[in-house]
Amino acid sequence: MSDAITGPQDGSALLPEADELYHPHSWWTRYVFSQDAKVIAIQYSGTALAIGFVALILSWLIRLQLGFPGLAAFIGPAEYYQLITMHGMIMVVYLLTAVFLGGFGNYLIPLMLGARDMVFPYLNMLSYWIYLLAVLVLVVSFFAPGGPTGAGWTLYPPQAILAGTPGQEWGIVLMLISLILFIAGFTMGGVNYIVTVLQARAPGMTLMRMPLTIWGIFTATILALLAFPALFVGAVMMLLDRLLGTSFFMPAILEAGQRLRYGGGSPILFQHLFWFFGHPEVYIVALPAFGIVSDLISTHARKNIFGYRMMVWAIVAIGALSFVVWAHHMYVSGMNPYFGFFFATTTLIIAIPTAIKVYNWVLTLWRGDIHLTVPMLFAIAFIVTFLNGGLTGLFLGNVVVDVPLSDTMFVVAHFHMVMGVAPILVIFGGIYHWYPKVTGRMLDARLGQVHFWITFIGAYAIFFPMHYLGLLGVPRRYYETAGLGFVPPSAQSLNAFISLVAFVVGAAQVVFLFNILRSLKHGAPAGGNPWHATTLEWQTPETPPPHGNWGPTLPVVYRWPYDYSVPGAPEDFLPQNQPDPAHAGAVP
Amino acid sequence: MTLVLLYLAALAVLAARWLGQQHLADRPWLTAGSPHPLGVPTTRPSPARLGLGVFLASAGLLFALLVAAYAMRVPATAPVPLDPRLLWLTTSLLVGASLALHGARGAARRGREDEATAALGLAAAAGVGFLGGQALAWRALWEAGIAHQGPDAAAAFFCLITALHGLHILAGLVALAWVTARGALLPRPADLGPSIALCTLYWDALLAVWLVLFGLLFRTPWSGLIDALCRPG
Amino acid sequence: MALILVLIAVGSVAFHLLSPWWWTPIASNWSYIDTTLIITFWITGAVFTAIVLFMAYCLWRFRHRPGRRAAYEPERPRLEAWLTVVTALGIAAMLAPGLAVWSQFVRAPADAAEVEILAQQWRWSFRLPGADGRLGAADIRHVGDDNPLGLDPGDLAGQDDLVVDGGDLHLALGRPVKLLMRSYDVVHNFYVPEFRAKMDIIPGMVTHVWLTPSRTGTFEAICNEVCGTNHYAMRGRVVVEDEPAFRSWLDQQTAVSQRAARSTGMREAGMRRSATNKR
Repeated sequence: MSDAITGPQDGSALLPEADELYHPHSWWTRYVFSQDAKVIAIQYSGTALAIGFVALILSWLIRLQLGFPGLAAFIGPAEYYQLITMHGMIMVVYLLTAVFLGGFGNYLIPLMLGARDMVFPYLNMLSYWIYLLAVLVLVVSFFAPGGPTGAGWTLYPPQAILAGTPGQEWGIVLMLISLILFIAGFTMGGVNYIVTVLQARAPGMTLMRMPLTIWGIFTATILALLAFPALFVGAVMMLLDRLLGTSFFMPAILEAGQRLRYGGGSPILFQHLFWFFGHPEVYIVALPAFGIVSDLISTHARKNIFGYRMMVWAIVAIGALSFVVWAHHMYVSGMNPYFGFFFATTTLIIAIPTAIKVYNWVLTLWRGDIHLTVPMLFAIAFIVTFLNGGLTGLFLGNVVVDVPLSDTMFVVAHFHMVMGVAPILVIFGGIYHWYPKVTGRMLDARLGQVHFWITFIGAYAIFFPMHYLGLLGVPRRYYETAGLGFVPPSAQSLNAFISLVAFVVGAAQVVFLFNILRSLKHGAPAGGNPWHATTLEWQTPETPPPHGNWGPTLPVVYRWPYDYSVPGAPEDFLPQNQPDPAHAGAVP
Repeated sequence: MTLVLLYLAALAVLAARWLGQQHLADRPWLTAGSPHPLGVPTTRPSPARLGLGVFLASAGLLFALLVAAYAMRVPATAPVPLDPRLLWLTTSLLVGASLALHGARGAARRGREDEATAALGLAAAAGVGFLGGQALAWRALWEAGIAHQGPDAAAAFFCLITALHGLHILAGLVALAWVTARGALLPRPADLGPSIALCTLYWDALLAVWLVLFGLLFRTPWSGLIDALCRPG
Repeated sequence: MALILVLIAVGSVAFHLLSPWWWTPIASNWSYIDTTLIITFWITGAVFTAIVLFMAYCLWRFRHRPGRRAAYEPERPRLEAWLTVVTALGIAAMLAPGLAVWSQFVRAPADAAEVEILAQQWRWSFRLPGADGRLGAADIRHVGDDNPLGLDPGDLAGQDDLVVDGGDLHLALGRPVKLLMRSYDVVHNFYVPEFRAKMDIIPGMVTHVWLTPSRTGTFEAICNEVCGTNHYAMRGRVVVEDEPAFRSWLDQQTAVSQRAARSTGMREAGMRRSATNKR
């Protein structure tokens, strides 16, 4: 490979003693207890997608009940609340967070930065296994006596640990333990990502030469390390309330007419802790998506990302601001109402850097050379859904407008659009984009198109009309709305329509699964750089890259990651490790 | 939450100072062709030290949040009904552990391996003593029957906070034992220095956290400051 | 793709205009909330349509054709600065009315009549002050079979309070009310869609919200914070009526002291009965 230029070796780019780790000795250490970030990434993604499919099936059951109440006799109110709780928790924590940071983070950080691996590979491996344990504990809760918890994914006490809520015996305990494990595992991974980004970059890879994907994942990891402690504290305290009878969150309470021994606790305290985690969590998912989408758009429009500096600053600004907006989830929670002024203002301010990002994506398309490949389709669909969801966020962030809309279907539609559909479209786009690097084969584009159109149009048709149910006042988390006078029969028809679309969209994911499995063997060979991309992961000497990534010498970075269509260059892209445009012809 | 926000602000200042040195206003497309547009990188901490620092930043926020939760939940007039002298003793043990580690670090730097190993052992003993003292405090609360009852939750908070802090101490003890074992068993214990330095950083941080927690839970000379930081108004 | 995007933009606007699903006719003074919502709809709708249509245009105009090459344009700071300023103005146009209305929302007028709402799994009870215009103290310690609201028997102000346990809450048209809300078990939320206002009900504290009913009618009150298995079935009714009708309804309610007397009488009768049975 001509561009594996022998450059000045940066000694600190790599731990010296780590060299000996690059030779796994058996099948077990190569594929199972692997310390290779790429294998860990695939393990993370595979586990997360598997549990994600469980969440998809749960969502089908939810829609079955909402669209056609009473049709499924086995879904009673208790089961319904268990379904929505587990669906929400799995999607937010165990799928989205795990795929973006554990999956994309592990795969892309070392490759895009020109590192051989994560800085602490052993810790990285441990991180995955603890994550797997957390998922298993979660799965066990489905089969525990009383079933999983049905407290809603927000797990508000006192409700979450009292009789009258399904899963009060075991479900909630296992849920909390699973979350604590997840956080412990994630912390190990997160420390790793940050140190790797800070210290293991290839020579020449300054911060301002990092692809936006890395900026997004890096910032999101920092947010996660600072947000998860709040959930950890909340989970431990609730666990003690439940098991030992402490009263951290529990005021004096009647349970079925009987006075419990609790007293003096503050339920709002939990809400503060939960949302101190919960709002940054939105950006933990969104920032990597922002980054990946920036790179997809730039690559497939053959044009540099517009306003790279603004994009970086916006990511940093969003990350910083995301810690002072949490209570916008609590406008009607009974907290001091004067907080509303502060949190509404910060919340709407955060819209400005976010809007800048949207403008810059769209302006990247302007005068581009747009190839509508499958990853590009997903990236554009992301912009549409994210824009839609972001704008409805302005309704909910603006404190008085939130009053009638909070806890209605409007909220459900909003957050599904902005942190459900939008990031998942990015995950799909990212998989279509990087699958050739992971496996050496292309995914089938025709199947990809089918998958894309059904998913995108379908998801939009599900969640856009849902906002109007919320405007009407239809509350969320209602097992059935029968008997509510202000809900007209037509709303029920709309619900049935939404459910039908949801079944189709869910079924379309089988196409995706089939594509992934089939292309492993039968996909067209991809070569090292099928998209003619500039970033380092496409410049590895071998595809798929082996453990250690770079062969004998690390790449040297000579330019920023967006040198597409540079005037005067023979090709329409200049890889980051290309010293001089004149040599561009030598790139295979 | 004032303390939490102050903590976050301090981290933000650190991050901003660091970002300020990263040439974020550069136009990266203008520097193409050079592998070192910013010159040769300056000295940096070792990955392990940086990783530990990142972890401690995260763990520090965990304790800051506990302090905030305590301030929201427990009235200012409710100190833990426990003899503070026991806690002064454990606190001094923790201070002793830190001092011993600093001694070990200095000894390792001067090349006095046996001295360093002895100081490590001393620090570990002090750490064990600290945990033992905390356990006695828990037992006293348990026997009084107020460990998890009591409407002001001060005792429950005491147990929760010291348990989480104690788990971190336990992890520090494991690390100390590992370093000490390496020092005692390896035939060529040449480079204990960095490991001892890591332990020292970790134990110093845990001491700092403990001093805050101690000041929060009991009347200490610095309690007024902590109250001012976490109970505005 | 470009065509689909145009369809999405046009379709979303058309759906918005033609949708039969819109908010319920308002029945309180919070029409300002609706106004702010409409302003937000206009601004966000315009931004959404503009950006999606612009993107559709780009996708069509700059689609890949053989030999085409993209422009090289890393940034244009003036354009970005302009966009930032315009965005900030748009945000301010939504935030300013929002905060203005919120400052009314958080300050109940001094003459607002107080009404207590007690939420329990999964039912509503209400309490109105008697002739003295004051609600008596209540605490979970006093809750018993004959005192479901936990009124403090020692507080004289509570003796003439009117308790509505299991019935509808009546409110007088045009008279501001401050709803004081309590719960003895879990978090609930009192929500009447027509009133727009809502507030969580947190056990261990009293939350409040105020409004002035502006239209007579019977409205459904529902719980809007998940509170356990029967959350969806926790419903009540609020009747808004003019002053005379409200007065006559008030007169039919029984005061706490009368109830207590009656329930004491009933308990004595019950004991007599069981004594008889034993014999």
